[in-house]
Amino acid sequence: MRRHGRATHGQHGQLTRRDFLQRAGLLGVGLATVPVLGSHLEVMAAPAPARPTRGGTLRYGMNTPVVSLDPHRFTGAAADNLNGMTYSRLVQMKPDWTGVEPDLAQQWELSSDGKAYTFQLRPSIRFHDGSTVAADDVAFSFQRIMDPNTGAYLRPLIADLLEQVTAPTASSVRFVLSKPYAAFLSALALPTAAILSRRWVTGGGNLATTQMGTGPMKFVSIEPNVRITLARHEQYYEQGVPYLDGMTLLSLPDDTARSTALRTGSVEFIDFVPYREVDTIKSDPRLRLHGDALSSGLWAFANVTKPPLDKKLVRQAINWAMNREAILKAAFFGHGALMSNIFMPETSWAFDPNLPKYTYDPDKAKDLLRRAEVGAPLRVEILSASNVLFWRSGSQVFQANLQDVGFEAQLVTPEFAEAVKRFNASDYQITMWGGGPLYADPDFLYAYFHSKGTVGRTTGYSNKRLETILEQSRSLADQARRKSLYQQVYRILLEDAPWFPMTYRLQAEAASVSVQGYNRVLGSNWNGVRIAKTWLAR
Amino acid sequence: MAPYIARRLLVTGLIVWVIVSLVFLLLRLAPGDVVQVLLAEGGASPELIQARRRALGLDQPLVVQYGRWLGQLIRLDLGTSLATQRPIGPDIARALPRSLELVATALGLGLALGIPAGILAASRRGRREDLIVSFASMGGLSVPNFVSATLLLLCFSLLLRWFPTAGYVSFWESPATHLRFLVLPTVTLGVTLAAIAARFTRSAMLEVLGQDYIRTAHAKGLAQKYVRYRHALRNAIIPVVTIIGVESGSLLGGTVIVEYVFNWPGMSTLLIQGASRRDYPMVQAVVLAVAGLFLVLNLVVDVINAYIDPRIHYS
Repeated sequence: MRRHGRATHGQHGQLTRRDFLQRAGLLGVGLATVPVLGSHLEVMAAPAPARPTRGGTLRYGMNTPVVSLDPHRFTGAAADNLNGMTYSRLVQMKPDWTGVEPDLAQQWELSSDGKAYTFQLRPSIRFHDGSTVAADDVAFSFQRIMDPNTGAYLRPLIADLLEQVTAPTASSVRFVLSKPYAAFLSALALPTAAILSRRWVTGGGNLATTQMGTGPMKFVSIEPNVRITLARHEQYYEQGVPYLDGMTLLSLPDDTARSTALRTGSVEFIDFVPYREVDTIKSDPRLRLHGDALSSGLWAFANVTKPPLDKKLVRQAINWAMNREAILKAAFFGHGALMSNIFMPETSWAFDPNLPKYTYDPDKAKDLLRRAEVGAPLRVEILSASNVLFWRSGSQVFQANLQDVGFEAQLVTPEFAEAVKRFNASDYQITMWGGGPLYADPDFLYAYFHSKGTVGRTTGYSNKRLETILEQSRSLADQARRKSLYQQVYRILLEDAPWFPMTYRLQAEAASVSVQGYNRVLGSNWNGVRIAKTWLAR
Repeated sequence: MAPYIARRLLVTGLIVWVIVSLVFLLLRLAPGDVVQVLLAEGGASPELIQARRRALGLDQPLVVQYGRWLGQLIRLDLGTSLATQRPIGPDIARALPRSLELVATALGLGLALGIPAGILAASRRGRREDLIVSFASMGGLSVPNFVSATLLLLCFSLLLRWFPTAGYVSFWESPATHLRFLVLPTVTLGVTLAAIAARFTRSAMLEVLGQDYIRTAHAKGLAQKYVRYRHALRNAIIPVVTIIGVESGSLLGGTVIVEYVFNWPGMSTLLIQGASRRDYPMVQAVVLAVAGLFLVLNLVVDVINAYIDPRIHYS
């Protein structure tokens, strides 16, 4: 019985709004937390689920190999996914990114001055080796994170904020900040904020060759570039889960091999569904796609110190010259959504539906260029990367769009390593970029648009008013207040146009229909794959 | 023979040292470094980048890095991967046999298919068998690896479900599964090799079969098969052996596509990962291993040739 033909899928192979709403009512446990968002959300509805059954080993085909096993270092999405299964944090992100929810900490409170967080740990959490977790382990983990020699990814995000971490009692941890930081909890939910065992690490545990955490899956072995074997953590803090006996993470970098493995049943689950295969997988009744087009995207940055991009009108013109539909089609086979003003997931409380949008208007672009009064020729160089496939396709359309309005646009595609080096050295006029926000708080905009942000420092963009608002918003706790501040931020960015938003892209995993209860987090490649409540139907 | 081999080994050692030193230099000329590559996805602060570079010794002057690495080599220590922080030696020790297995079985398949085909084509020159072999070997040579790999995958794995898609299980874990995983990658590589072997064998045989001494042997009344194999093939095989030697050497480093598509975790995987991540020690170690092996292989080929053809004297 083919349930997924053209009739239900509308013109572009996506669920029509009506059909989606019908199926939404049938969504099961894991998917129930995902909000209904029409064409932005591409999810196959599950039939009403039976009760979870215990047992089975889930085989997961991974797009990239896990580079490093050290959970405090960032070495790519694969490592983050693994760490999401083998380690825990104090808190974890809610699947729809509306906030954080308890992980190892069952509750927390913030002091009235907003500078001190006290977390209460759950009772009797056990590490994979059976030892109990104490507040001291949390303190130790953060000491290691703050140690410059560790190279922890979290450190620069909180280095000048975190003053001390202490364990006032065996089950409570206290973080004292130098000033309030609204995104602190979101930072603590990052995969690299993992909690380690002091005794195991100081006793010689090698974090490069093995893992020992508190996550639902216990690390068993790694065969580099082949597979990683995980087994159920029998003493996981949540009773009765995980349902799976274990998991096998298989390295399947080739897109065709990975999707073929899923379609032939060699694996039950894959990540980074190749855009070319999305329609095939969606039309296969034995498979299900789990994805969102909200939390990752494609865009370009301008280096505003390099003419002619130092002129605001030129940058605005570029935004009106862009055919975002065509870019979406070229780069992502149409799987995604247009990014027409700012990068902010629709589910975020900071999202502004009334924000003006760019449209494809080459005439307006030409008009803006005329008013900018920059002499011809308008030469720009777009930095892309040869081995990032969707940068390549997207940038080719972008280049053509620019040429249509009078730019002499050159496309440069070195290898990714060289592109990154040039980016970090601000050696570019326009550079392709993309991905997901660093963490699930609108404060991630600081990294992109504040002159001290990890990305903003390379673009040369510095708007003092914007920076003041960003700094202000990150120290406020009042969400309503912060929301109105961010709305100002968006409008400044539209006016200044320091960057060129292009599209959101579909970030998806795909699984056999036997995989139930997959609790998908938005943009899960950034936040680890959640499988505690996943089970295999027989 | 013995002093010849000894001299060749010494020269081999020198060549390997030169190659590896060149690679050391060229790697560091390529822009980008492992720290920036790995941190790119998440965005990194300059402080973090600097701290990691310092921790990995990448901020040291080139001469110091070179000296440190040579010192490691002398102690037979291949170093630690900058990306994974794991020791490189065990990774290569694991990967090398897998690549060798691929190359060896592909070689075996290629020769077992190609040489008889070439002989057949040569002895039935101009006729149906010759045309079939020539056509097939042209096809085998023309189709690029990545096309044949994907085609085989889609045909035999997806459509026919005869073989698993991609992956690897060690022989000791499960011989049957291991062999099933081995088939498609081997066939992909072997087909090209068979085509090369067939064409070279055919042309070498044709040349030899046209020689006077072959006509003499026929005139003496010797049986066809005897003439073909004892006299013709033995002479014709020399250039074929040489070519096969060169091809299998380049196969060692050239299993990239096959290892990628079928996820056969061999040396090429380590090499490509290392190169794109700018993981200097890894690339250096892989080049060292492959270059050393290649040169030893060539030595073996030369020795075999000397054995086959007593006319060849090595002073």
